[in-house]
Amino acid sequence: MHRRDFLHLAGLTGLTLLVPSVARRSWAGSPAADSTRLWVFVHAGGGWDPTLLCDPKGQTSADDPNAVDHYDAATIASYGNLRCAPLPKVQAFFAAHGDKVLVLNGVDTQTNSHDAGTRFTWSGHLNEGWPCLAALIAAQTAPDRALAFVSYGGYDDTEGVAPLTRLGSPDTFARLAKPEFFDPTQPARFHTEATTARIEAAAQARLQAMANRPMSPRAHANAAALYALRTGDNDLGQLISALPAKLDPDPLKQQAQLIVAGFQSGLAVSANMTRGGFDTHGDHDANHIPAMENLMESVGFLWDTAVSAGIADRLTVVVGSDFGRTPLYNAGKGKDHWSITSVLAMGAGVTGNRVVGATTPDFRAQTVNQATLALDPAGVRLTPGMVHRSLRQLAGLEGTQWAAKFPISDPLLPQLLGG
Amino acid sequence: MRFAIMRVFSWAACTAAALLCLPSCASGGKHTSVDPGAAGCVSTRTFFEQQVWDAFMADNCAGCHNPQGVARNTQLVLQGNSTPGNIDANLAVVAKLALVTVQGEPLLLRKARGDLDHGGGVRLTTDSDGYKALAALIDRVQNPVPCTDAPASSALAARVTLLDATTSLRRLTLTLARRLPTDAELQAVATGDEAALPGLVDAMLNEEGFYQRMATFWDDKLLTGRYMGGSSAINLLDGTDYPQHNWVNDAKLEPDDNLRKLGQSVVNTALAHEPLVLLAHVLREHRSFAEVLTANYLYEDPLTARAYGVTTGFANPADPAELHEIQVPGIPHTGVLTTAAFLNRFTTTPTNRNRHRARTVFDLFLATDILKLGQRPIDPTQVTDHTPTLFNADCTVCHTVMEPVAGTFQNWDDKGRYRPPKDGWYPDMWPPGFGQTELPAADRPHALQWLAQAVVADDRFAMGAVNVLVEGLLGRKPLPAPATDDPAFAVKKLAWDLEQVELAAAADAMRGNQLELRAAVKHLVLSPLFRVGGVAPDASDDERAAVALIGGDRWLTPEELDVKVQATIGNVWPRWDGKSWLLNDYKLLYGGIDGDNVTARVRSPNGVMLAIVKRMGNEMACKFVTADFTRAKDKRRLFPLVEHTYSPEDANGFAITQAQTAIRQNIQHLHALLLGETLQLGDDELERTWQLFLETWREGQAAVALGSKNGGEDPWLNGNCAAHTDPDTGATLDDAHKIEQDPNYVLRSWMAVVSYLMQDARFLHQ
Repeated sequence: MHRRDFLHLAGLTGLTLLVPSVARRSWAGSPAADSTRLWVFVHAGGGWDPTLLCDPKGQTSADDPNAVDHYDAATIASYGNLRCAPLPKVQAFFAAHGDKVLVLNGVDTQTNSHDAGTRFTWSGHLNEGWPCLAALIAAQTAPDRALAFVSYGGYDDTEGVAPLTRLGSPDTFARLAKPEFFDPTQPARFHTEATTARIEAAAQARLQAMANRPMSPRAHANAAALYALRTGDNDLGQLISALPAKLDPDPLKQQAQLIVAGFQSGLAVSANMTRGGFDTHGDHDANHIPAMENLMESVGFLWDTAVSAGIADRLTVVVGSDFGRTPLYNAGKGKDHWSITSVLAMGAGVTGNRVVGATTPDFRAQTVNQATLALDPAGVRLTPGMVHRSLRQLAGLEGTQWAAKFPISDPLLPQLLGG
Repeated sequence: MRFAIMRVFSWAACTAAALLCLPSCASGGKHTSVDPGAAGCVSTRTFFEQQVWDAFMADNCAGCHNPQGVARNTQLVLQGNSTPGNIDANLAVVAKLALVTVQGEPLLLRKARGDLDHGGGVRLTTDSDGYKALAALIDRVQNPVPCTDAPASSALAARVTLLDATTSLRRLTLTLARRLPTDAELQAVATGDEAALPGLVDAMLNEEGFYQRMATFWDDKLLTGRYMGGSSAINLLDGTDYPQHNWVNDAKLEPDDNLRKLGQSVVNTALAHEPLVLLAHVLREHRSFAEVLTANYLYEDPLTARAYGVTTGFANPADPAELHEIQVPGIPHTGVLTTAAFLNRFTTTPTNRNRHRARTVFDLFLATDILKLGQRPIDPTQVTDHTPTLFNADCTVCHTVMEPVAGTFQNWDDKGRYRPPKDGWYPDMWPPGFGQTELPAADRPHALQWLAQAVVADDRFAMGAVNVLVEGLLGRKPLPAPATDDPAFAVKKLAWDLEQVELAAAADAMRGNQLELRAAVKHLVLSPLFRVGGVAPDASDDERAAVALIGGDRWLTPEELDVKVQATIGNVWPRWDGKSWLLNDYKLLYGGIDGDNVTARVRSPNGVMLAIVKRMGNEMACKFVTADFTRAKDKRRLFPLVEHTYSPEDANGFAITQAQTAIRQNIQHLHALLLGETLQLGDDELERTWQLFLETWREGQAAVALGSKNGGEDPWLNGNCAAHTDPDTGATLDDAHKIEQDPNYVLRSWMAVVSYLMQDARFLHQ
């Protein structure tokens, strides 16, 4: 029985909620020849403040009681059509990458709940039960790749559509890349090559036989998942060779390095990066600004690393958060939850140096015309669902079984991403 | 008539059609002529559940109209889906109000469309499907429909086939007691079958392995792993409050090097695991699970008690196995809630004001996810209040529930120190208390103790424990109530309904046994949730998918796989220092958590995990196949039926019948030991394994004959696979018992077999 047939048989058991996606096309060829689009979703955990990033407000005077921010509005910087808060590393990011960046302001997450907001931002749906976009992309574009979706957190619910992987240090991986060798640096093997192949063949044959055995539906699904892994592309050696000799000490930059290595190896196609520290109910400026600067510096680092690895032309990066933060400071100099936020997108398939949507001076969402995307009082508020419709379109998910299984009812706005 | 036609369709197939049909249903008004025995006759309960509650009321109304919500003082107070029996309770409330009219119109309809100063404004427009469904429901209440229906969960339960008693027993012992079944247990199910299982479970629930498992379950929630390294947990204790807290690292406090060294190996771990040690103690003593929250003591060994300055009451101050309940003077201990590990892991800030701690209490002990109360669509432009958490409905929906509990943590500061606030609690928060009850002023100094008593008296306390058990036992969170716009709603609803029945029964069992956790565990592990082994052959795709959502085999966590490796092979998968690879270097890569940066498990395999599995199979086979043959035959785990001299064929290639029979029988034994498969000789799977053995042997035999210098194989085993020491004692073997060569290639053939079986789906799942 062929791999496709076996997985299809498992799928016929009604387990499409659990069985990894059936291979629709096999990935063949070296990583260098690979043209698969690559995706990174960067999550600012806790609810970021877009007025410290891409939707700056500032204050008009030091004693302004309605100041949204504590920096002078006159110091807001512009890079092409983009404006950003006067934070050095944020400015550096926009100066270097603004031409590639699309800013979506006034995005309404419709919730003040961390879990729901994070889920909405990264799945496009407010309710539970929808997988993150990174998992759907992995399922659609790289079902044969065993490390297709790499995640360091954020919202990484897969709903069983694709396996989720965490990548660790190069040292840890050395032994795993060569599980057939006593010592990965030495030629001695546990079994002869023929025996290793014999074990693998027996394992695969047994998994296939399980499809016809009376077992629980979940056991069938588990067997199919394991079979998919055993027959998929899982050469960790490719990953080892792509891993940097030394990882950056910054945890977020480490994530970027490992993800790019995963992409470079050809084993991964989508990934979640995440950094917490944005839920600043107290002493907002002191806590939020360093987090924001680290976030954007790391996104720039991610891009530069991808350029060095020769994969930037295929890379799309999306940056977002649970929701936004209130326009005004609370008594503890903090900012509380606010459902209006921003989303950044950059890279392949995205027309940069653009801003769609806006907020009022007191940081309330303005509406846009669905056809022209211009501000329009009779228009609609941008939502994560609309953003996802466009991202799904870019990822080739619109019209697929995944879109049908996990529908988003928000409208598809033409040219939201440019393209 | 159109209504009657609609009813012949299943809910799953025609939700949209049903909703479109409602206008005529509502306007029809007279349903008493419907034949109750007719196919598709829908009861008012089902109508309410499917077309009112699931369709809009749960999301659109219950956010405020719940026992803690902003509309809690109205006549419409609804119970959420985490409350067992909520459909019946909610229907009763709605039905009562359905009879109330204002100026000739139903009160519910007027409120729904925003009339009569409805605090929630317009919830349904008159042309919406929800409004029409509500009108239809009111009509049904006023004109009763004489239809009854069986709960959907009963129908699905009948489609589930359970694992047989023997297979269930293996899953039970590995899951609950960290071991394989004993011969006596196997005999009991062989003769008593199903009837023997409850008694055997009772016995397992009194084993030390059970307490360890329960500690692991709760540690996934309490996340104490953050403090396991170095002196992390010791440093949580304040040096002013506890001058002796760091005695294990201070020669001035303890000059005895050996005692300090012993303390270093004990105290930090004990403090990090303080909540788990208490939990295990409560279980071991067969006390109410409530004591996990209400215990007015710590449960410590003498070395750890000394860190608190408590040195009396111990027979041997250097015995880490002597544990007692202790009380630190002046501290109002409140179970796990006042442990340093809990208070620091779920810390607070001047603006968070214990809200995170309150959320954790609701999540772990009251089966309530506070954040879900606020996940419905809201509009922040409506938030104009000065203190929205007190006055705006979008905020109060959560804060009115959370803040009273947050206030009961007022005496414990961000570092977990007992520091009652000198100026009282914040006036711009909801006052300290629980539910509708405010904290009495006299109870302020020990507010958490007051809270703990209130929490354990709450009906949800048992369900909170059941939810944690579900995650530990089934490897997944309790199924969320399905959203009505989910295309898989019908499937998920089937599964959710069945699960709700079982969870409610487990919680009831616990309540009916003085909150003894074992009662809930026992119910769950004997229920279809844990024992699902298959599905009826004629089950529909939806039913199969629903059963798959419920449970069955699941990918083992690194801790669970480590248990299985030990239970079957008799040893962990050892690193150079003897510690388990699975619990150290590969723990996170295999989907585990560290309680610090990684707090969510990966529950399905990926490519890295597969690589780990392959290395584990290879290394374990190498290390323990040869070792097992050094044991006396009757002491062997893996090879009780063969010798390593048993070759399957002679030098001329003729079968050695006796040897082949023994080898096949031993393969049968390995399938049973490692995979839990009871297969008859001749089974295809045994034949597949036999062929692996035979072909490996033939290839290797020829290679050894050729010699390594000629491109073949060496008769000497690789040093990693040779046996030089007794696997049970560690003592060096004498030359006669060492096994360093494999001239006939039998050992390496068995290594291929063991490696193969340890990579198998049935070894990796449970």
